[in-house]
Amino acid sequence: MNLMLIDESEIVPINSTTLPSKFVAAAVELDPNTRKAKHSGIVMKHDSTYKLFHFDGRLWFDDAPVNNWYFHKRLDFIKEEEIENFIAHCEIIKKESNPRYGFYYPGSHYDSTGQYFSKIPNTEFMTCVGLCLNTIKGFIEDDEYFRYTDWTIADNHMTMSFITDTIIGIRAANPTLSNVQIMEDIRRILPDEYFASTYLKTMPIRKHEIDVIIDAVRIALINKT
Amino acid sequence: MSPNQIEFKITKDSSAQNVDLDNMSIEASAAFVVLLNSMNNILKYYNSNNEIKVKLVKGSAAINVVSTENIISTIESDFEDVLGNKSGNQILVENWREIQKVLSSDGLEYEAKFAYTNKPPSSSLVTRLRTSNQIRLRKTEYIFTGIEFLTGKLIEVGGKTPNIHILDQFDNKIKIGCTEGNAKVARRYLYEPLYVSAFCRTKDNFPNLYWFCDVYNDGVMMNELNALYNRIFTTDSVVGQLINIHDIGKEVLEKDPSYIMMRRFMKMFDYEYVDYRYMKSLMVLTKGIKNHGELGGIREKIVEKYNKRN
Repeated sequence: MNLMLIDESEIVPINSTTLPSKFVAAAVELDPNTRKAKHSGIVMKHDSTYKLFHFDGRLWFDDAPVNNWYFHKRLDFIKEEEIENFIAHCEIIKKESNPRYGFYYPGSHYDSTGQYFSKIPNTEFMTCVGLCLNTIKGFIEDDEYFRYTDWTIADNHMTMSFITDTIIGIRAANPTLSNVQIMEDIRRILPDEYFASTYLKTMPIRKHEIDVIIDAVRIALINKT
Repeated sequence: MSPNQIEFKITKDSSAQNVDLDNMSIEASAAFVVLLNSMNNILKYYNSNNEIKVKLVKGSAAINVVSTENIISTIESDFEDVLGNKSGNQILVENWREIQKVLSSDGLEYEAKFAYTNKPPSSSLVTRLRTSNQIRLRKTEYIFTGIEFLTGKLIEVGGKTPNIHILDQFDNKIKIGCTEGNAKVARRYLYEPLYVSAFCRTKDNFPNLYWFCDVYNDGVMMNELNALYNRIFTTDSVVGQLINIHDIGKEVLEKDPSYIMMRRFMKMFDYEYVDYRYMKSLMVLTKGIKNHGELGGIREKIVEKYNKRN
């Protein structure tokens, strides 16, 4: 099903032997029972080792675990020659940043100083996907990576308690913001949407383009053993 | 009867215990991995016909590279060139240099040699690598070696291909290539003391080639920039150097809101032969200020050079 939409063979386990010696790729962790993507990160290979950069309320930059993690082919716009730069970028973000968990993404990014750049100050709240977007956007030359405004508070069934927790957290960090202002940037881009974006060739990444291939990507992940 | 082979063995760890593949300390296993990796990289250069086998020998921590006498002799002959800094083969030089670093470091004890079935073995590679200067590539073409900070008197400006000449404190005349614009400005300072930085490229048995980087008000400022530049190289690791560029750039940005030092720091990356990874680090570092008038202009020139290289 949907074989024409994506090349499933490009979704390979982290320890596959067919991979190039250096690359940066989008990674997702699968729920072992449902095979659905429940978590995401960025995996990179250099000097025969795999490192995984991800955020689950705590920022991790360690050797990549193999079980239940799959990744897509290299993120094409990050060149093989830039692998050391990307590793340094992640090291710096790990050292300098202070993210907190929340369903929030205002089109921000981390620059090379590990500083969080956002149109709204003191709002370093994000999901696992948010960390990936903030990291990658800070690395590339383009000013826009995801057209984040394509996603709204109405998407992706966020529970009310998560939304409320995010608003309370952001207001505590930045009391000048109103609930309405904060809610404008409450959004959740799902791990498999981020993963599916690696199949798209042009930036900015648009939601309606992901919607075309997302089912094919989900089925491909379910079918992976 | 010994097979034709290259032998590497870690004999003792830093607490003088025998080393075995089944029971290695962290330092011994780290050294073993480097030896194995570097040797593998070297062998890729020779193994055209699957005639080379690598054996890991239990009962010690040994790597034996077994092949024909012809191939082992060729590897030994190339090794002699590498050790004498006569090799222009970057892969061989870099990997033998890694092996040299491991064998030369304190703590572990090693044995290493080329051994043959029908002729005597080589002398100890450990001794020879330890007593040699650091292995380096024979430069058969000009290679960018870094920025030099130069002090002297400006004695000549101009030429069809613009350049400036300074006479340094040892009466050496140094010719620095530059743009016409640089030369016009420099003309005003003829016979004055000059504090400049220049990108330097070198080649064995040829004079260095310099290209103008920046000019400083005085020796204090020049030394400050020189110190910043040197800080990049306080580690051998490329990732470490890229993190250093970040740390220095961040410090410079925070200390000097007028961006004067940042402009000078950025200029050190605005040269076509600078390592493209340093350029990329600077591009990421300055992404947030790419619309700043003057800094944006320098950044754009670096981005242009980076894109040409990649």
